[in-house]
Amino acid sequence: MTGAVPASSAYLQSENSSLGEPVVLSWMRPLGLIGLSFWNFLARVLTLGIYHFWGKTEVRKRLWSAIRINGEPLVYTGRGLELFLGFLIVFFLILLPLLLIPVAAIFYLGPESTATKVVQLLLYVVFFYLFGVAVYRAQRYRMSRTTWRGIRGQLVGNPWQYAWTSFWTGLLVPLTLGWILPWRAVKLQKFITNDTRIGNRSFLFEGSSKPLYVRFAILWFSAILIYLAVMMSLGALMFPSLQEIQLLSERGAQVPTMTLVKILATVYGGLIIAFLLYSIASAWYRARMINHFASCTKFENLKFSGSLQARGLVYMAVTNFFIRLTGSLIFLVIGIILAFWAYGALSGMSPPDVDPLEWDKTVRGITVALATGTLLFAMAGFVLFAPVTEARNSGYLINRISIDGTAALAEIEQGAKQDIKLGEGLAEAFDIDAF
Amino acid sequence: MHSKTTDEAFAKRFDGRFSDGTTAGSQRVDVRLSKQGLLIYNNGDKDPTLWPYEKLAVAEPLRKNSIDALVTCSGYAGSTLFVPGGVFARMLGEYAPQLTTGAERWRNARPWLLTALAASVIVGFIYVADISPARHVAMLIPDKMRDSLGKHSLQSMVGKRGVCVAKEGREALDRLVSRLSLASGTDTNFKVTVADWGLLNAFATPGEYIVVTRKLITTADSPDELAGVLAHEMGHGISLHPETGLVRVVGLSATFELLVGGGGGTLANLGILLAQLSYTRGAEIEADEHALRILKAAKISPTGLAKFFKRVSGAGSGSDKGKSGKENDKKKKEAQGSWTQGLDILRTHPAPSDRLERVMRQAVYPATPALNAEDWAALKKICSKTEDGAGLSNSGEKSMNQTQKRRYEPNGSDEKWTDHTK
Repeated sequence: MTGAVPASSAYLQSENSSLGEPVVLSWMRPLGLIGLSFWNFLARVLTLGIYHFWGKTEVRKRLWSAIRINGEPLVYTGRGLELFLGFLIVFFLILLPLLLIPVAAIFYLGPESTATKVVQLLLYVVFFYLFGVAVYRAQRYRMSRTTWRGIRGQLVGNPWQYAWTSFWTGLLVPLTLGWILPWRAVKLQKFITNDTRIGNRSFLFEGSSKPLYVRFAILWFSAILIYLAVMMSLGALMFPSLQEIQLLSERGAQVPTMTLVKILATVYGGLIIAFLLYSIASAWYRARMINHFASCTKFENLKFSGSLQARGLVYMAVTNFFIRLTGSLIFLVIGIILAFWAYGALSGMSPPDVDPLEWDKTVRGITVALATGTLLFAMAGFVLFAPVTEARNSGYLINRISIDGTAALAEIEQGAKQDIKLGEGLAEAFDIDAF
Repeated sequence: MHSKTTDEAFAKRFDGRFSDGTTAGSQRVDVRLSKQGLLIYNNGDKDPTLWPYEKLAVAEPLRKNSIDALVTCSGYAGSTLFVPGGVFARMLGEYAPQLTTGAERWRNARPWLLTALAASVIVGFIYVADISPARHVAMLIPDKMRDSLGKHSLQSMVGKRGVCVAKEGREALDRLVSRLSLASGTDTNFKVTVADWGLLNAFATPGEYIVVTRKLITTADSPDELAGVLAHEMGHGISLHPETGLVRVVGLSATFELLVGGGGGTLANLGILLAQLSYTRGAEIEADEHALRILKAAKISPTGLAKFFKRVSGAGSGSDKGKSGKENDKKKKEAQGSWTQGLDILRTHPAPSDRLERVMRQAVYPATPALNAEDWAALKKICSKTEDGAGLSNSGEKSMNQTQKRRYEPNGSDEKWTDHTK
C-alpha cells in the first residue's frame, strides 16, 4: 500500500494486535521548505558557515517527519551540535594530518622524490579506505537518531569491516572494467541491510546480483556506443574547422575567434549530449537496482517492493537541476541589479576633494567587487533550494516503495542503546552525505 | 480567571496516539490542553497524565501551517504522543512558545551569530589596527623552511619556462644585485633569477629569492629602472611579505580544500599562488620605503623607480596638444599597450598615484648609474641563452648570482669589486 494517507485515517483509531497489523508507508509533503531554504542560507552567511549543521538538522527533522508509517511520523532526534563536533574532530584528527603529511613530504623529501610519491599514494589509499568508513558511520549515526513511536533504529555492524569490503571491491572495479559493480552494490547493500535494526528486530537482505546484470550489460555497451558515437560525430563536425586552423597556421594568419568558439561549442555540446544520454541509460539501470534492493529486503513478515522508473528518475534529476539553478539565478539577478545601480549612482557623483581619475578607479573597484560577490553568491546559490530538491527526491522514493504483509508492532521492543555521541563528521568532510 | 477563548481551548479534546517507548505498539488517547500542560487520558481514565509545557519537546518545530504534532516529555523517556490535525499544533504553539520554529531557530543560531559578530569585530580591529597575524606566523617560519618554500615556489613559477643565463648579462645582473644587497644593510643574501617569460612583472618569493621576467628587462628604459624594481622586491623580501602572503593565502585555501575534501593541491602550486598574490597597499608602501633606502645607500637615483611606475601605470599618457590626430592616435595606442602591459605588474603590485608621489618627493642626492652602458647592454641580452628551469628547486641557486658577499666600492666613475667571500 502506498500513497499519501491522511493522518487521521482509520488505522490511527485501531488498537494493537498481537497477530500483526498491516503497515502502510506514506509521504506527507513537507510545507514551508522554500522559507526554510532562505533562512538556512541567510543564517549560514551570518554565522560564517557554522549554522550549516543546525540548518541541516532542521531539514532532516522536516524530511523524517514527512515519512509516515501507519500515519505516524518518523522522528529525527539528531542535534546540530553533534554534527558540528563530529566535523571538528574529523577535521583536526584526520583531514588536517592528511593535508599536512604530503606537504611535509614535499618539504623534507623533495617534490619529485619517489618517497614523496609513495607517501602520496599511501594517502590516497587511506583516503579511499576512510571513504567506506564514512559511508557506514554516517548511516549508523542517522539510524541511531531515527525513532518511530519512540523505538530507535540502529546499525550494529563494524564500519571498518564494511570499509574493507568497499575497499577491495572498489579496487577491482577498474580491473574488471566495471563488471563487478552490480555484485559490489548488492554486497554492500546486504552488509548495511543485515546490520540494520528497528528496536530488537533486524532487517534481512535476501537476493543476488544476478537480476541486475542484464540491464548493467546494456548500460555498459550503451556507454561504449555513446562514447564512440559522440567521438565520431565530434570528429566529423569539427573536421572543417580544424582544417581551417591548419591552413591558417601554415599561412601564419590568426585563427578567427568564431572558429575557436565553434570548436568549443561543438566539444561542450557533444559532451553534454553524451552526459545526458549516459544519464538516461544509467537511470534505467539505477531504477532497476533500487527496485531490486527493495524486493530483497524483509522485516518481520513485511516484504518491500519498488516501482521506480527511469523516466521518473530522469524527470526528478532534470527538474531538481532547474530548481537549483533558480537559486543561482536569483543571486545573479540581484547582484547584476546591484552592480549596475552602484555603478550608475557612484559614477554620477564626484567628491570635490578626490581626483576624478582616482574616483573612477574606486567606482570600478566597487563594481568589480560587487560582480565578484555576485558570482560567488550565484555559485553558492546552487545549494539554496537543496532542502526542496532533497524533499522531492525523498518523496519520489517513498511514494514508490510499497510494503506488503503484517507485523506484530506491539512485540517489537526497544533495542539496546548505542553510545554514539557525535555526528557523521567524516561523511560531512567527504561530502557524501545523502541529506 | 481564564478568558473565554482559553476556557474553550482547555475544554477541547483531541484524539491522539500514545506510545510508551518500550514497544512499537501504541494506544488511542484523549488529549487536552490545560494551564499547566498537556493532559493525557488513557481509556477514559479519570486521572490523566500531566505533561508540563516546559518539559515538552516536539519532533518537528511547530509552525502556523503544521498539520500535526509529535510530542515527547523529558520525564517520560521514550514515550511519544502523536496528535494529528493542525488545530492542536497551533494551540500547543501558543501555550508552549519554546516549541515553535522561530524559538528553536533563534536558540540554535544565537550563539553562532554572537560568535560571528565577535569574530567580525576582532577581524575589524585587526584590520584597523594594522595587525597582521599572518606576518607573525611568517616570522616563526625557520630559515631552512623559508628557503625550501622559496625553491619550491621558484620551481613552480619558473620551472616550465626557461631561465635566462647569457654569461655577460648574468654577470652584469650579479653586479647590480650585489650592489643593492650590500646597500640593504641586512646581511640578506638575495638570489635573483631571470625567467624567460613574456609577462611584465617581478616577484619576491620566500627565502629572499627574486624572479624578474624577460619582458621586464627588455621593457626597462634604464638600469636605474631595473634597480628600482629590484630594490622594491628586496623590500618585500626584507619585510617577509611573500611569506606573509603565503601564510594568509595558503591558510585560507588549505581550509577551503579541507572543507571540500581536497588533498594539498594548494601547497603543490606555491609559485602559481605567489604569481597571483596581490600585496596590500601598506605592504607596497613598506617595500617602497625599503627600496628608497636601498637605492640611496647604493647611490642609485630613485627616479628610475618612479619612471618605471609612471610608465607601467600609464600615467601622463594624455594626448599632446598641437600634435596631429594620427600622432595622438598612435600615442594613445602606445599608451594603451603600455597600460595593458602594466596591468600584469599592477595587478600584483597596486601602484596608486600617492606611491608615485612619495618616490618623486625623495630628496636629490649624488648618484651614479646602476650599471654602466656596457653592462646594461649585456643584461638586456641575458635571455639570448636560456636553460631549462626544471632543476631549480634542487639546485636552488641555479643561474643566480653567486656574488652576494662581494662588496661594491665606487671609485670615481670606475666601479671596482672586492670579493669578500674569500
